[in-house]
Amino acid sequence: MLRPALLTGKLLRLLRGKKSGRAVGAAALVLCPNLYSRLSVEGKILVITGSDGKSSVCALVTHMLRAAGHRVVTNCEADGRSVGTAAALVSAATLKGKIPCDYLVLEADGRTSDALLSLGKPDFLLVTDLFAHHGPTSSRRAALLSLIDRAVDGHTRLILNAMEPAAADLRPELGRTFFGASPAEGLSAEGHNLVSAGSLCPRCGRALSYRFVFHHHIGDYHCAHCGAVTPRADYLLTSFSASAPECAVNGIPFPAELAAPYHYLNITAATALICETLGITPGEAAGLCAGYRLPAAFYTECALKGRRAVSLLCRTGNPISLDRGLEYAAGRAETKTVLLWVDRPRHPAEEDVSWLYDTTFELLRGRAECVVCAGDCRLDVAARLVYAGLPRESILLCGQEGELAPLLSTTRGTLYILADRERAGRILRALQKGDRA
Amino acid sequence: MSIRILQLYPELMNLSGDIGNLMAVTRRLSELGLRWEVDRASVGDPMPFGEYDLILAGNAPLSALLAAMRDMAPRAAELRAAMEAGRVFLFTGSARCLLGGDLRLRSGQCLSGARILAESHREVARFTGEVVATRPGMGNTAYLGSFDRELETDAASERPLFQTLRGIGDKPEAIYEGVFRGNLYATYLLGPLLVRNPELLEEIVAKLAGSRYQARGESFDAEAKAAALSRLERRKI
Repeated sequence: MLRPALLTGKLLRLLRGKKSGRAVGAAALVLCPNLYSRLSVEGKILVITGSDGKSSVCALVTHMLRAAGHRVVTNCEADGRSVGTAAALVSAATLKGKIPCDYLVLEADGRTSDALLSLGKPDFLLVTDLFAHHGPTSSRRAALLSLIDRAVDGHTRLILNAMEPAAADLRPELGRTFFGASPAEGLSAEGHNLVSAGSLCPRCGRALSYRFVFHHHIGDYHCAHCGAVTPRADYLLTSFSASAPECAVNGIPFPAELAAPYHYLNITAATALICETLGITPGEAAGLCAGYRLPAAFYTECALKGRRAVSLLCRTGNPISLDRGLEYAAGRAETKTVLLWVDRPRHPAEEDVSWLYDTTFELLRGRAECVVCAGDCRLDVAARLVYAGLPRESILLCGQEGELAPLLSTTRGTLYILADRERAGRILRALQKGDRA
Repeated sequence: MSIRILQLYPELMNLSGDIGNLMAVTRRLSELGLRWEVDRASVGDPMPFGEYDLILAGNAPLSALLAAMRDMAPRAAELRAAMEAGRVFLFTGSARCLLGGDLRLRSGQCLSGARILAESHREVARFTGEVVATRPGMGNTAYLGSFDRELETDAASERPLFQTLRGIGDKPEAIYEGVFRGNLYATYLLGPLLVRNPELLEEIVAKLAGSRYQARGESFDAEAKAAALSRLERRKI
C-alpha cells in the first residue's frame, strides 16, 4: 500500500498546503503502516538524538547543509512526532518511494525511533545529552541508550557530548568524535540547577565529581573510584558570553545573530556534526551559519504595547527545557515580568507535577518583579514558586487566555514568555492582535 | 533546639522532584517559627538515624537504587532502632525498596534491602498513572499521587498507607498501596507527595513540631490539589 499512501499524502498536501502536516502523516501511516521500511533513502542519514536540544541542533544542521548547496530532507520542522515525520518523508518521496536527497537529517527520540530506524542505519549519530530525570515528556535515558544501541552499526560515526558521562562512554569500539566546552567564568563544581551534578559513573556506578558543571550533570567530570574522565573534545566551545550573543568554537567566532545564549552547546554539537560529515573546518562551518535564525518556535522577540517581549520554547513536563528558559530570563539584568504557561502534559500521569520540583524556579528569586502563572498547572506552579522563595504578592494567576492582556497591563518591564511551542505562538498572536486593536 | 532532618542519597534518589517533600516540611517548620537543619548522607557516609527527627529518601532509577540498596542493607539494625524510637521516615517511589526484603530483577539478579518491612519487590514492565486514594481507617479525605515505576510487591501490608479509589496499588490488581507503621511512611508514589497532599504534610509536621504545632492557613498547595482532583473526577466521567 505504499503508492496509495504516498498518493493520498501528496494530494492532501496539495489541497491543504502547509496546514496538512498531521493529516498527511496520519493518512500515510494508516494506509501503509510499514511506511518507513518501504521508503529508500538516496543520501546519507544523519540522526540526532538525546534528551534535549535535538530540535535546535537538527534545525541548524539542516540550515548549514542547505547553505553548502546540498539537498536535505528533515523531520525537524515536523508537527508532531511520528505523524509529523511521516508527513515530511511522504512530501519528499517520489511515488516509487525514493527519497531523493543528499542528506536525510532526522531528529529521533526513544518513542518514535524504532520505525525511523527501518529507514536504514545512520552514517552519523549525534547524542546531545541523556537525562535520567523523571519527566513526563523528556526522553528517558534508558530508552535512548537502547535506541542508540539498536541504531548503529560498524559504519556509523558517533558524535558525542564529551561532558555527558553516559553518552561519552557509548560504544568505544566505533568511530567517535566528541564536542564539549571549556571552563568559563560563572561555572562552578556544584552547578546552579536544583538537580545538578551527581550523575553516576557509567563504568563503576559510583558518584562522579566535577571540575565544572556546564548545566545539570553536564560538565567536566571524573570518577575518583575507577578513573573515568571527560574525554578530550575535538570541537570545543572555547568562549561564550551569558549576557551577549557571542560564542566561539575551537577559537573561531560564530555569527552573533545565531543564538540565544543558552543555545551555545547546541551550536558546538552542530558544528561537530557538519565538520565530520562534510570534512570541513569550524571556520568554514561558521560561514555556513550566515543568515541562520533560531526558528520562531524556539525564540521570538517583539514589541508589545511598547514593551519588549521575548518568547522562549519551554517544553511542558521537561525540567531541563524549562531550566534553560529560566536561566536565560533570570540572567538578563533588567526589570522583567515572567509569564509561565504550563499545561498538563499529554501523558498517562497528566496530574504528575513532580517535574516542577526538578526545575530551578529559585533562579527567579529577586530577579523577576512579577511572575504570571497560567495554564492548567498554574496553581501547582504558584505553589512551587512559593517554595522557591518568591513573595506571594509577586505571583499572579491567570485562568484563561482572554484574561492575559489585562493582567499583563498591570505588570512592568520586559515580558518573558515561557511556554510550549504551540501555546507560545497562540499567546503572542493574541497579545499582538490586542495590541493592534 | 533544631528539628534535624536527614536526606538520604540526595544525588542518587531525587530524580522525581522528591526534594519537594523536604521543601514542604522545612517551609512549614519555618512558618511555625521552629529551627531546623538538614544533613545529607550518601553511599559510604555515616548514617546515625537515631540522631534525626525525620529521614527522607526519594525515587531513583534502577541503577541508582541498586547502589543505594547495597549501601543500606548492612544498616538494618540502626534503621530498626531509629524506627522503634519513633523517628519519622518518609520513603517515596523506589526508595521503598531500601526498607524491604529481596528485590528480584528481570535479569535474575536479586538484591536485599534492609528487611525492615516484610515485603519483597520485583522488577516488572513499566506502569505510569495517577492514584486517588483514602487512608484506611482515617476518614474520607482523598489523597493524590502519581506512579511511574517498574516495580511491584506481593506482600499485603498489615497497615497499608493508602487504599486506592483510582489507579493501582502495590501491584496492578491490588487496591492497597504502601506501608504505614507508626511513624514510617513508605510508598511507591513518587515525587512531592507532601506538597500534593497538604493533609499528609500537616500530619508529619505535627509529629515533628509536637505542642508547637499550629494548623496552616490557605495555601496554593491545597487549591492545586482540589483542582487536580476535580479534573480527575471529570475525566472519570
